[in-house]
Amino acid sequence: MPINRMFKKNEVFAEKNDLTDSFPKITEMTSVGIMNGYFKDRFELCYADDKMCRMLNYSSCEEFLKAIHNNMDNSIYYEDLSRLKGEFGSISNVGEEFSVIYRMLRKNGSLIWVLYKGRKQKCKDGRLAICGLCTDITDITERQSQLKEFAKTLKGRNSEQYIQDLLLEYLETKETLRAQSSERLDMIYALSRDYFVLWRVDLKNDLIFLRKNENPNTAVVTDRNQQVPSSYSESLKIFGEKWVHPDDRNMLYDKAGIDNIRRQLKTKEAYSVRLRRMDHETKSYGYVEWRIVRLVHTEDIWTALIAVKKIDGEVLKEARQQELLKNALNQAERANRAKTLFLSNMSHDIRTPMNAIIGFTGIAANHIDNKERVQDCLDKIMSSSNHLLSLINDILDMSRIESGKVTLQEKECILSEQIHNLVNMIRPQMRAKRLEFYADTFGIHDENLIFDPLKLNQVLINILSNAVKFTPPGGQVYFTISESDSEKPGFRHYRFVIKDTGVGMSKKFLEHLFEPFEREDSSEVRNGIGTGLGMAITKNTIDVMGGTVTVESEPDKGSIFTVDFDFKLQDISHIEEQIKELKGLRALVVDNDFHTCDSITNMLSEIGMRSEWTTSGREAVFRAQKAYNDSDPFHSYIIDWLMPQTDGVETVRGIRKVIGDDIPIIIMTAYDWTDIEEEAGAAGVTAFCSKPLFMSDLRRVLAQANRSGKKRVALSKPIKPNFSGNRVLIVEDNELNREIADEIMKNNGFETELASDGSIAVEMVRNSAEGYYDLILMDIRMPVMDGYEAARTIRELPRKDATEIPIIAMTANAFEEDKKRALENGMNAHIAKPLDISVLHSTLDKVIKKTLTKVNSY
Amino acid sequence: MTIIELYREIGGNYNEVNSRLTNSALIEKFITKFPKDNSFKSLCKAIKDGNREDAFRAAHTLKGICLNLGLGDLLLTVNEITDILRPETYKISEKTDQLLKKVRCEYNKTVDAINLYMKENAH
Repeated sequence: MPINRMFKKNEVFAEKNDLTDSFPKITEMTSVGIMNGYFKDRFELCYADDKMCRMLNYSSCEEFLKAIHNNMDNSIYYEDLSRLKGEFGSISNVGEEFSVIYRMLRKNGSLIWVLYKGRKQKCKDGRLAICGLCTDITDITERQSQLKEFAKTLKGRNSEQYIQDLLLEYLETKETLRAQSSERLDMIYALSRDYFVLWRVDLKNDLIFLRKNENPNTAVVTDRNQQVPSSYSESLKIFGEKWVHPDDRNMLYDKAGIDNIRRQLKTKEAYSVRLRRMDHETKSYGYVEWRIVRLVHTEDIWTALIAVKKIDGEVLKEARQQELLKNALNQAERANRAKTLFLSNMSHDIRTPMNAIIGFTGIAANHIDNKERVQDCLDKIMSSSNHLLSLINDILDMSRIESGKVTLQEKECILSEQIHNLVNMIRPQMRAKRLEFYADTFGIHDENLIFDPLKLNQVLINILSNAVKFTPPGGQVYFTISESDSEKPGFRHYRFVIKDTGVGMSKKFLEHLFEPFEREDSSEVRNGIGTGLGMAITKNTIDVMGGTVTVESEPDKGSIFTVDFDFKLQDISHIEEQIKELKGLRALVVDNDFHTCDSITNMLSEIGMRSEWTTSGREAVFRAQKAYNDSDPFHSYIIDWLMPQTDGVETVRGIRKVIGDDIPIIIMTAYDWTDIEEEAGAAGVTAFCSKPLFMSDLRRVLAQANRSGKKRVALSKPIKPNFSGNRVLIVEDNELNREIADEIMKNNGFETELASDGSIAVEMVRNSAEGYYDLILMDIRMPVMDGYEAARTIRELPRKDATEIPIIAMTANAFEEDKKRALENGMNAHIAKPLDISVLHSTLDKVIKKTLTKVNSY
Repeated sequence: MTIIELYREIGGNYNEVNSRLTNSALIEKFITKFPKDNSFKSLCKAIKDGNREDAFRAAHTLKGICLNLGLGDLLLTVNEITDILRPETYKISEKTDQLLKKVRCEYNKTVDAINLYMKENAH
């Protein structure tokens, strides 16, 4: 019979009773193992239960028995073997209990202390056996030896002191640990203020604990405070796949992986990781920051804290700042490049004409006797010089603009005057190129405005010049001005449109139109005309004026420039819109452009006339006839001169035939009418006015045409100052200067009388009739009586004209103090030499408009 | 020598003068009268006498003539001396003499040119 069958649990003991029945159950519950075996000279282990095997780290009885070759000796620590043998040997009687304490070897070779209690038995076959229970008493034994040690050490010392020392040590350690843990707590609380989630990570065992309300697998904030440990690495992976932005995942696994945390926290106290995480409500990604902080690092414990906070705001701010910096850098680079390009272009553009000048000068010098050659060279030098001069002027303008030195010099201006002057300036160029010119106004009611006239001129002339420049002969240029409401109170909005049928510009060129030195790269343009700065200056000027400009253009189709401004109204009250004499009277407008007819008709209606229009000259004659026949004749005719398919002269003649000579016929034209004046006059035209027509122009021409009836009224002609009928007293001590002044005044119509000293002048005035002299030109520095004294004396003469007669000081200087002194001594104004008649004229204008009644401006 | 050349000689701009004295015959008439004008002489005398007031007046007058007739080179030096003679506190000194020398140099040049012109264009 196999031996282990003999030693089945219940068969060991022959008798069966309750106790023995319950015995095995007890052993099951406690950590006590059973070891049974035959005993002769040695203990042949036959059976050991599960508990026993586990105590020794074996997984089964078979394994245990095999490991020790069924020999109990092999499981005993060698030091205790002989003692044990002795103790066992001393048990001779069957049924005798034994109790031995010894060390046993575990599977891995480590030791445990065991208490083996049992009995010697005699088996059925007469052999002796040992059966017993084995208890692990390692901790008891250790404590025992510790106490023995303690007793030993205690023997050799003052026990009381020793205990006290130990107590102190214990208390200190406790305090340190308490402090450390309190520190840790503080850290946690601090972090939890800024961070909305805190996780504790066991770095030793790769575990994550939740401290504050968030499950890493779901990343949903809950209220339950779980303390569930899960594998950190696994949780990280799940979290990453579910909630982290795909671009950031690998970075997260890398930077916040358990290995990196271990690596980083060895040397650092904390570090951060930024990542994009999906918000579970909005389903959009936002930036969060993980702050990974070292908590405890001892031999046994190694933990870190991961605190998470939202940093969208911060990140966005940083990103924006970066963007701004990048933009600023780009702009600076671009500006720098533009500047370099500008400078290089500029120097090239200056060198070219300069080289030409030097070159041709040299050639001229070498062919000095060849008059023709020299003339030719001089012509070329002249044109290069002019070009260079305009380039330099433009560059100066540009640099002034760039350095912000350009300021708006606004003054009170009349729009109609401004535009007429402008158009007059551009007409010769248009005429030279035989271009058709159309100029109209639309809805202009307010002409008295405040703006910078020079700048407006600069802008419009520039654009108009370009239109002329780039339109081939026979083409058309259209110029319209319209008024509309402005958003700013007290302002009106004006739009200037210049259209041409010229060569146009490509889309690519349009993009850079307003940049310096941009020129279309076509042969038509590259004739060396222009400085390349015109458009840049124009754009800058428009900007300074607070306006806008847009351009439409197509190659070979032409261009349209639209410039918009808001101009302030002058503080004058609105003039009476209607002219009494014309109220209700009929007017006929004849122009081939319907828009012009419309605009002028509207203006006439506002003046109070009943106005109609036609685009045909023939029809105009018919309607004149009909109106006459209906006894409701037209009171005024306003006819455009150059209508295609209609001969203006014929129309006028035709109308004159019908209505006779009394009714005024007014010709409006965009061109210089001095050429047609004679012919038109002969045909029966009463007056001319220049396009574009403003309300003020219409009023003026109608009022005057009406008053003078048939008499011709000329408008917009240049004013030549003519002082005929006026007498001037010239006071100047130097003969040469006196003669020069005399000549100049005589040339301009004055009757002159001369005085060589202040005192003589006073006498001459005193002895003259009232109002004899219309003007006194007084030099200041004279020997006997200077100009100031002379003026004072004249003012005090007992005459009616003494205070009124204009006295103008004339010196070689124009210092402020001279001007002041002149005024202080009773003079009206001061002009500086050299004597210039136009300066004199404008001075007189300003000072004595009312007194110099004999000055005509026609 | 034409009148234009003369003007070039004396550092003046004929066109500028012409825009004011529109008659070229007049310009010729006046410029040929210049050598006879005694403003310069008065200036020299006044400085020699140490009379600031008279010197200033003479210089000022001479400046006016230069402006009227467009005598460019002379104007520059006359302008200088006029400016320093202007303040009433000014005392005539050696410095004034030095400036006068410059004026005299330009004056002589101008007069010589005019005289040469007159000689060449005597009719």
